[in-house]
This record gives sequence, structure tokens and C-alpha cells, in this order.
Amino acid sequence: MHLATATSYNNLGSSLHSLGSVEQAISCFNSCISISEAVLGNYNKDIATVYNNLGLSYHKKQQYQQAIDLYLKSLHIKQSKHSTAKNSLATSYINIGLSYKCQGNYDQAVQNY
Amino acid sequence: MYDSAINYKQKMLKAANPSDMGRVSAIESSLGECYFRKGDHSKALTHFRSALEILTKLTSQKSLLAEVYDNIGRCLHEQGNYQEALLYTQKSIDITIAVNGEESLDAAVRLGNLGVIELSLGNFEKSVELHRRSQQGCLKAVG
Repeated sequence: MHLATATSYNNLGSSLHSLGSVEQAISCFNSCISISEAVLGNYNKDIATVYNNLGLSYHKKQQYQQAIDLYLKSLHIKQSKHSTAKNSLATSYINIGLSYKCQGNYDQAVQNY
Repeated sequence: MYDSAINYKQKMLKAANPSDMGRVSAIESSLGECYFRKGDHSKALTHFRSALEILTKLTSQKSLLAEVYDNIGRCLHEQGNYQEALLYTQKSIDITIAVNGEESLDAAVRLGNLGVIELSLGNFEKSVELHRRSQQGCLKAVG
């Protein structure tokens, strides 16, 4: 297991997501997460980014609750005391807000925006 | 953290013998790497270009030449100059394959960097194809 391979899965996932092959993208992001967590542990900013990407794919599948759970996981990693990614919290809140909005949960959406 | 590394490398650069082109280009390249990590892509580009200017005159140091072409591609990509980034990254891949072989980790990683640029250009299918090659190459090279 090597981080270069993890990165290549994340890159492939992002391209597949953009192409619209969401199921394949999800599988790539999951492969990236398992390798990264084995190599880096659970509180790395790169892993937070991949959880966010995975959330975007579930959002595209209109599985908004699943997306929100993944964004929250990403947020939790970024907020942890071990984290080095505190400056990208805004992205998480925007994505969470967007998924709540698509769910019709406007109060929660406004809170996160 | 990067500032002290940059300071140190600037001193190394001043102390280096200008005729030792291999050493000067290596220091320029690592200065570029420091600025890139710091997020100053413009200064990074300046140092990578200085390294490139020297390296193109040398017949040895082909690995570093490929690395510098790739890094210039990454800088140009960060600056939004995708078309030019594409040329440098492709050049890097050509040299990498010639020097290290198609199945090297460097070749796989740089194919991925090309895929990132194609994604930014909106060429999704091309990007997927490059990332598939990159992912399979990484698996083969390092697991």
C-alpha cells in the first residue's frame, strides 16, 4: 500500500465523478480512503478531502443524508486537534448546507451556510 | 517551516560554484519545490525555470530534467495556464518513460498529473483514461 496509489484512486474518482460515472467514482474514493487510513491514520487533511469528494458523489446520486454524513465526517477530521486542515472548514459547511437544501431541510441549510 | 528551508537553500545557492551546473540546478529545483509547497507558485516557477535553463544544457541529469518539467507543469496548472501546463507535463512524461521506463512510479504519477490538467480543461474522458493508466501503473510499481 502506497500513498501514490491512494492519490491515483482519488484522481480517477474525481474524473469519473465529472464524467457522470458516480458508482465507479464512489468505489475509487473508498479504495483511496482505505489505503490512506492505513498509511496516514484517521486525522489527515487529505483524507478529509476524499470524504468530501465521496459526499459529492452521494449528493449527485441524490442520496442527500448519506452525503451529509460524509461531509460531517470530513468536517470532524478537519476540526480535530490533530488536523492540519482548519482553513478548509468553509467548503464543508457549504456542501452540508447544499445537501440539506436539496433535502428540503431549509432550517438546517441556513444554519450551515 | 518552509521559510527557514528557503533561507538555508538560498545560502547554499550563493555558496555554490556557478560552474557546478548539476549542483546549481539541483538547488534551484529544490527551492522551487519549497515555494510550491508554501503556495507561492509564481516564485516556484521562477526557480524551476532557472533549473530548466541549466538542465537543458546538460547531457546527464535526465531524471531531474523530467522532474523539473513536471513541476513547471504543476505550477502552470495552479496558475490556470492549462494549455501550457499540458505541454510541459507531456514533455516530462516522454523523458520519464525514456529514462525510467513506462512501468516506473514516476511515469505513473506524472500520467496522473496530466489527467488532472485534462480534467481542468473539461476533457473528462481523456482524464479518466489517463487516471486509469496512472492508477494501474501505481499498483504495478508500488502496490
